[in-house]
Amino acid sequence: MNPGFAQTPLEGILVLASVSVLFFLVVLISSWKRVGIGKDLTKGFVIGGSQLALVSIILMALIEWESEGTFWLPAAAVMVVGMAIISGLRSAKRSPDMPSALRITATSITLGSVLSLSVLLVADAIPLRPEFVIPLAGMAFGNSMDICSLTIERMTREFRMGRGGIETRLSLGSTSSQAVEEIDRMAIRTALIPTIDRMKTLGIIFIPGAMAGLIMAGVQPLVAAQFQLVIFLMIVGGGVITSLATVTLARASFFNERHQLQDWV
Amino acid sequence: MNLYSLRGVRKTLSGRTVLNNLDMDIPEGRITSLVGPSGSGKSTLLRILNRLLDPDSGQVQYRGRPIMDVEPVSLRRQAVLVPQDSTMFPGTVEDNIRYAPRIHNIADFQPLAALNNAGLSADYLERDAERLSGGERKRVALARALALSPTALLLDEPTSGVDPRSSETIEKSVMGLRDGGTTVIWVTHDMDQAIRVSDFIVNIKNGEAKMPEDSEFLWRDAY
Repeated sequence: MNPGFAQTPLEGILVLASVSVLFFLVVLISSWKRVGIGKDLTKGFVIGGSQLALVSIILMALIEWESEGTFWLPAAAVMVVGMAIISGLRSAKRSPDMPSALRITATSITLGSVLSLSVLLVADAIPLRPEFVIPLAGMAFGNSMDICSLTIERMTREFRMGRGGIETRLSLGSTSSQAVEEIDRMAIRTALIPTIDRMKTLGIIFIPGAMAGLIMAGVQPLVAAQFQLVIFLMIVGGGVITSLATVTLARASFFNERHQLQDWV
Repeated sequence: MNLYSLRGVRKTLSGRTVLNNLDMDIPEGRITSLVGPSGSGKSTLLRILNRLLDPDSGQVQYRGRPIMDVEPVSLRRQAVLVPQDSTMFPGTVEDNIRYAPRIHNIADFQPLAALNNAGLSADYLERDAERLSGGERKRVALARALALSPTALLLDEPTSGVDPRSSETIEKSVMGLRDGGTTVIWVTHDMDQAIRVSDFIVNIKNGEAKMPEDSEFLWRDAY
């Protein structure tokens, strides 16, 4: 076994078991101090760990199929559909009263993620292989989900707080899209702030996961940094598309075709 | 000639009947006041006339046409509603007054006339709209609506929370607009004001239109 770095699943379990001491210590301290997060931490660790294990097993199977020449893309497509539904469901919870929220969030997230991922494939930035496509799809969907959640939450809040201003604009003959153009812009800006801030602090406050992983796997740091930038461009591009799609699709839920606010707002 | 004719209009909001079988005519080029207690359906009626809401049943005609056949954006440009809350848009008073001409692509719009017609001087143009007093906001909201030179003004309590001097300015401005041919529908709970400014008064009670018992105004002439 290499010092500090597992090469096989068995070695990994041993490393994980030894590092888990730290986790259990944290759980014990939180129980002792009555912080009330011990149960959530344990639950999160078990669920997160199980999900990672499951996705790793699926990924191992896909990599094997690909090496054997079996057509792995349909299975990957099923995974992507699963990602779209789960991320859509999670984002839709940010605006529980909105009609067709799941359709809006799942479509926007999928559009942003699939388009940005496709650009990477078409530009030959990554090869069409499961070990690249699945993790990057996960990153794209995860980030687009966060951006979609922030966009839809901000929009709903602004609509409810700014109802008077919206109706004043409508009563002056604005179309529904003219009446909310400032809200749309604000929602997109707000949703993208964390991503833009992360990009601005790249390498200074933290070395992002993909770059760190590549460096640890022995890739030259400059090449790892270049790849990380490619990933960030995918994340930002996908995020902007997701946010734009969210405000466009959500508008139809806030208004009817007569440019009147819907009752649920 | 009536600008609006309403027959058997009903509207229910959140399970409560707000307008109940309402019949009413609103003549062109006159001031018609809608009076009545809070919650009697006056504001809801204004929103129906501007198509921010549609009635559940009954007929509303605008210039002899069913209002449902009039494109809402086009109707709202002609019959402008000035809501009670006088929300100011971010920016200066001039930004606010230029809002409607900008979205309707009205070239060479001069904001000063609208400002003066609402009883405000040119000094106001550069002021931050969100820092104005209640009375000033009411007048800017009126000027913002006047920027469209509307056929009809639908005013929801345009002087509520306003000092007597500003209130008098608004009343005079609106009466001047009426003299220039603008139809005005004025919602108020102040009967004295209604008597002062109106050509016709309609009392709305429990969502139905009634003629005020103590009014000698020619309400019936509207029919």
